[in-house]
Amino acid sequence: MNAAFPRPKSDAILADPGTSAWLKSALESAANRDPIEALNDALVLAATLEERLRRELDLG
Amino acid sequence: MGDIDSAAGQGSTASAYRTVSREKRPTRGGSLLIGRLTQHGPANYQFRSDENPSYYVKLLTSRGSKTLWGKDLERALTSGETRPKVGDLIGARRVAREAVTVMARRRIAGGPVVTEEVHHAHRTRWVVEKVKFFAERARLARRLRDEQADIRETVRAHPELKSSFLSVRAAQEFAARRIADPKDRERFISLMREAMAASIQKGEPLPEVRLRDPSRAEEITKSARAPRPDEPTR
Repeated sequence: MNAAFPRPKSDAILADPGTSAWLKSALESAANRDPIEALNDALVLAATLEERLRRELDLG
Repeated sequence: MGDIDSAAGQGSTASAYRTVSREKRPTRGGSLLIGRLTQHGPANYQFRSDENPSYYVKLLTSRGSKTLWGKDLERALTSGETRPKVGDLIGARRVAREAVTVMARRRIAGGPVVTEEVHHAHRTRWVVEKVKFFAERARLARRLRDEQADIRETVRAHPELKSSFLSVRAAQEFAARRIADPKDRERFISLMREAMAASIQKGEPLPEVRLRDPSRAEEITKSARAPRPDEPTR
């Protein structure tokens, strides 16, 4: 079995210099929101971004 | 006929499957699953101890975690072009189902084989690559579909398409010789071009161009010219 991708922790992501400013900003703003609503929005965001990726790169 | 990958889920602790023959049947290809590779490795199907050995790939997709199962996933991950690592954004696609015939042998508590049964099943063939690979393939497929493209220029920019364009040209020459109706001719060429483009877009291996090795050609010519020592002289 290969090493699993570690479950991301918010603090570690914010402290990681490799994390994009966009993700840091999103995490910081989400910290003040209701966690259920924040995750729900994040899932919508992820699906929307995937849709954009498929469309722009013609991935079908 | 069952799927050998999922057939592994049909409880067979005392049986050993052995593939005895196979036949490849290309399909239109499944949709591309996109996600971050989070884990992969060999395991018994569905992580159940009473199932047959298989291989799994876990992805974190925009719709949650997804686990794929199939013996071919290991080959697809380790022998592909981009060889993704855990943490990479990848695409996974079923590209073909191979018909396989397997021999199920049953024995009692390590004793001799008591029964042998032939089963017909399918094994899925996968392409698992980094997402950029599929984007590049989509771009190449567009080039091949573009009938107005300058072929010489396109091949210069994408030498990997040379064999595909040669195949299109061969199809055109075949059609010109063998197909009388111009409409049928066009249709044949169009279908051929589309089939090749679809295969490229799916991520299947690109056809290779076999170049003639000039040194080998020279060697052959020389050996054809020079008489061998054991040849009779005239």
